Amino acid sequence: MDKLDARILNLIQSGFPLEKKPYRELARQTGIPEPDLVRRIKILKKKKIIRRLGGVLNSERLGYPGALVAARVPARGLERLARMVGNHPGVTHCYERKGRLNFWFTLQTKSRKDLAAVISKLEKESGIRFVCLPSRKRFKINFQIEF
Amino acid sequence: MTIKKSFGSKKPRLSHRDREVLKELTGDLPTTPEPYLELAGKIGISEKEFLTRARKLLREGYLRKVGAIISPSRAGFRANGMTVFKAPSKSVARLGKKLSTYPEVTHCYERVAPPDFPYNLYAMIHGRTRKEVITRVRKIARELNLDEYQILFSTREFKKTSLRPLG
Repeated sequence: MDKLDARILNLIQSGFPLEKKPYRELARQTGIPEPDLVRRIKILKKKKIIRRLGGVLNSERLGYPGALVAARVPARGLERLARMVGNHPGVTHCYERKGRLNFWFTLQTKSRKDLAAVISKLEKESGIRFVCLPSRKRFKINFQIEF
Repeated sequence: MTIKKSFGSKKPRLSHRDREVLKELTGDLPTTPEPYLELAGKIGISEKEFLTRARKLLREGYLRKVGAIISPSRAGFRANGMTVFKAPSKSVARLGKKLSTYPEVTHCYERVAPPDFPYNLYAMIHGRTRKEVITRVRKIARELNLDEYQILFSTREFKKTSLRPLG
């Protein structure tokens, strides 16, 4: 990754143009030919530095209630539980972490009723007790990494 | 289990078309010269209508942004430490705001603290190495006078994806 890649990344993290020819517009802003810009973006995607190019939903605005959920899971049961939990489309992050509570995931659902129902269904299916940690207030959510 | 009230309970009214546009936009945009033409074609509307709806969805806040989503680990920030602090309830709002001013803090939430996990302030802190994360957390803890905390480093990533419109 060179300086030009860094500049492209800083630019397209928030300002991908909603215009007919977005890559041409980005090429104009960075002062390089469109095919060069597209080639660089393709490489950044291939290297998975860019995980995705697209829109990020605002779950709060969409009215999706969400929670962070944690559990203490025996090491041998982690993968099975991760598969079970990961099947739900509202689960976007799922990690093993250090600590007494070693299994963590985020869950978003269409309604508060669904949120409770999904959690109790997963508890029943897995035999694991979940600790539900709903947010009270969001102070920060940042999607921009400066290069 | 009871779920206590948190934000995000107001139901918005979105048309079927808007939901389709959201669904397409939350996929991976093609790197062809006219990517929106392609997406509009998939749901059978004109490119112009697609773009008009997309701009409206961004303006009205249904989309936080349209752009590149970077993988912190691929970009060199390999350590990911979810740090949980025990903050006095009367100062949690002030401390949350202060925590958010640190650039290494990417997410910061106040959460309901259950009796068996008595932490109420959560911050996601990235660093190039675990050592870097620990140093940063120590500095923050000292500056904000928050001496009860845990850094929960991730040891395995099972799933990391972007949210798509539900149902």
